[in-house]
Amino acid sequence: MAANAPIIDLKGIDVTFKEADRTVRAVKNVDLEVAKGDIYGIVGYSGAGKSTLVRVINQLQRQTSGKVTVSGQNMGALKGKALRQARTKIGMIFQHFNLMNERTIGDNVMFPLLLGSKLSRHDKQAKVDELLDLVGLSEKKNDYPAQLSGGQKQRVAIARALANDPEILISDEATSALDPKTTSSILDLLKNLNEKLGLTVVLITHEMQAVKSICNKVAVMQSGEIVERGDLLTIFSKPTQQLTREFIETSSQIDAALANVVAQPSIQHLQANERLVVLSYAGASTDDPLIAQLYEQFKVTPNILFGNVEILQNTPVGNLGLVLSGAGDAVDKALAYVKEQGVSVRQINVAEYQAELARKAAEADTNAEGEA
Amino acid sequence: MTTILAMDFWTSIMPNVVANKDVFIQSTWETIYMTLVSGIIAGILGIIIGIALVVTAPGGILANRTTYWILDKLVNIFRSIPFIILLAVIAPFTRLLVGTSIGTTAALVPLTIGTAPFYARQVQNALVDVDRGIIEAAEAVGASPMQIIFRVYLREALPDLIRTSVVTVISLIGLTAMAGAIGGGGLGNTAISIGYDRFENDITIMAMIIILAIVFIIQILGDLWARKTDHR
Ligand SMILES: Nc1ncnc2c1ncn2[C@@H]1O[C@H](COP(=O)(O)OP(=O)(O)OP(=O)(O)O)[C@@H](O)[C@H]1O
Ligand SMILES: [Mg+2]
Repeated sequence: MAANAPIIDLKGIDVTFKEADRTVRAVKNVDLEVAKGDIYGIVGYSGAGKSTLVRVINQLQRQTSGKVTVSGQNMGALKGKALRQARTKIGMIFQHFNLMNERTIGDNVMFPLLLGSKLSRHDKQAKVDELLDLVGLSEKKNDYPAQLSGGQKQRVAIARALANDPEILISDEATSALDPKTTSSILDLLKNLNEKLGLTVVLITHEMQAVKSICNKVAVMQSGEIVERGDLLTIFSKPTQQLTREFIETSSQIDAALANVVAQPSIQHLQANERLVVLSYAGASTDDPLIAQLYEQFKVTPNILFGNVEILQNTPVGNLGLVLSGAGDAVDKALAYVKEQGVSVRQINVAEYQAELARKAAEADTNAEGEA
Repeated sequence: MTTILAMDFWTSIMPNVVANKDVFIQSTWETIYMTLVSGIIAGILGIIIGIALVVTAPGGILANRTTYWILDKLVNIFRSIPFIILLAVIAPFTRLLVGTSIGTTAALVPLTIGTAPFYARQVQNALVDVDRGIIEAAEAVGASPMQIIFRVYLREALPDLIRTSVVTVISLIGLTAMAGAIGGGGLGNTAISIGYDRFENDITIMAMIIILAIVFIIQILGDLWARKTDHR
């Protein structure tokens, strides 16, 4: 394996499920490269094919076509013992933890070591103790899973997944059943393992918040395809797909703020020389006195409606909702200048935006009725 | 002195039981023998077939449509045959296997064949209840099919397996009562061919009491054991 070759390399992956009455093409011609040390987020709505795609990595799901290379090994060609051996280098954690109820916490973590590890009995015990210590559950060693909270169970599952010293950890919705506080402690743990052990993490989730807090790269999946991908900052500051924007907005609450703003009479009756815009920026551009420039250079008055700044990978990423007003084409000129500064500009047509909100609300209603 | 008094007491309320004490000892032993031996053989067969049903089922760890279909149908067929008919139908097979078609040992064959499919279904139900996610987690850490069967399925389903085994043993004791039809002896035979046929009611009642005692003991021990192993 070349030094800089991706640790996970999926090429042209297709997965089709054939059932009696229908066939489902769950994954469609997906390429994905994950570099060693990445924390790669995969987001998408339910049924997008995320689980199916990552299960191909350890071949819990065989691909219908395409090539899976993990640590230089062609996984599709492996069978029996060789495949099981390769799987020991890919840890996996799940939404429902999947711990064995009839084994103690210690024995659950021990389980992978009972399957063919060459360690001595004593070394295995030491390994279990070390792993439980790593996830902060040493004192629960002799308890049973039923006695633990969800977050603690997931920690045990992480310890178990790490027992064979894997290079990769796949997390399939591992925090989806946990409350926000527990979620962030589990995410912190993953981040920690990534830094401390050089563990490569593939993180499936439908919560953009999780991606935002620990991932360095992200792919967005829809109907079996990756519709957008890239490093976290680029995706967050310059999303190109509608779906990506939706995911970002749900996590930054820009949508909620906008909905509030457009409901106000003063915004609904903007003057001809006024414009509602959302500016999004990442990194260095935050340092420039941009807002001051709008007035000094273009005599455009910015009226700040809302704003937020988040730190992603040590870089500030901000969103700012403004009403700009100025004479003639001053506003257009100012916006062109803003774009030049690397800030992305989204102009909001208030009437259209309100219609869009109404349409979405109606859609949500019908969905809710359908489920009821 | 007290023993003589006690004997007098029993002789007065169960005269025939006291007179036939040896018959009771003999037939209790026959019931235990038939239950134990056919229980162990049917238990092993049932566990093997039950496991095979679970792993070869569609979506199982060793999915195999044909094997599953054949096992499933065989189990259904043998479960549908009433035991008293099974006794007669398999007589030639019994003779082939143990050299005779009558007697306590001959009864072991139909008892085993009557019990194994029933137990196989019970085992299958217990194993199917093991969360698919737990099996998947074991596969993900590199467990082989054999390791999954022995270290995951049987281990995780143990409390349920104990419970279903108790149910099976109790139903097996019920079947041994019919073994008298082919000269298998046992408490059921004593109750019918001595107690009922000769109108010696105390014998029938005593046979029932001993069977109930055996059943209760098994039930209580089984429950205790199941509860002790259950950590869900
Ligand atoms: N074993 C299977 N047999 C048939 N269809 C399947 C199977 N597994 C998944 N599918 C189908 O493939 C599609 C993708 O499923 P998948 O579980 O990969 O989605 P997902 O993105 O992980 O969704 P979720 O967020 O709900 O977990 C769905 O339409 C699903 O019904
Ligand atoms: Mg999924």
